[in-house]
Amino acid sequence: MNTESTSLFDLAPKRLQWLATRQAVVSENIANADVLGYRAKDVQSFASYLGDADRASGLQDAEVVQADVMASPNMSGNNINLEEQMMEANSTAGQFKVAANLYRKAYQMIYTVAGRR
Amino acid sequence: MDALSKISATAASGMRAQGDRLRIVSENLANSSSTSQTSGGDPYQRKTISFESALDPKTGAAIVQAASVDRDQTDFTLRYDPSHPAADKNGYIKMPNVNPLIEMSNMREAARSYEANLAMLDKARDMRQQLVELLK
Repeated sequence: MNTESTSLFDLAPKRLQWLATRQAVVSENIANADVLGYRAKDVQSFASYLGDADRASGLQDAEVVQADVMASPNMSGNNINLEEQMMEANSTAGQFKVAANLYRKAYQMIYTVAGRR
Repeated sequence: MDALSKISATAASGMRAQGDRLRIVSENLANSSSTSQTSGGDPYQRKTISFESALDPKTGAAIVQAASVDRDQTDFTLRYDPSHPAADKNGYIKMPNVNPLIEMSNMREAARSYEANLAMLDKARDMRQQLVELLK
């Protein structure tokens, strides 16, 4: 089996790294939900992260950018919406699970080919 | 430090900050009828707390911390009670500017934010667990 053509073993760590950074940014947003003038943050899109990762060597942290959230800033200039951030956290955790399981499945395929289970 | 460990540091700092906020609320509530000891003196003045973002030097994680504890400058309410030791010569005593309703809603909000940070801590642990599962 040519693992390079599928590039799953190359792609999965990047996906996991991007999701982990994203979750860290969401956790910052939640922790700062009561800070004066704090604006929600997000990370760059996965597509642009992949482009940057191809040029860099090793696994990089995703770039942190300003998030475009639906909520408008409240009176203290803070635009964090706890519900929105919790939904982000849930979806990120779910995608992380998918990526981790895919990675494991790919290894299981190799084991199967090698005649071990 | 990897992103998943930073989540723990960030969420823990959020929980600590909300805990501080809860402590201030309980101080306000406990002192909601603490008048002055002297005649005509000022009673307990309500405390307020504000947060700020910071960078944890040890982990490099973005954290939140209590910036300052200030005093609420709202006027005190007056109550007529000539027999009270804190009463001035006209018989009025100054009562603390603590509004139990505001304190209770503040307390609820602190508890909700605390829960949100706790949920993040839980999520980060789940994600780490997924990675450990890869070793099996």
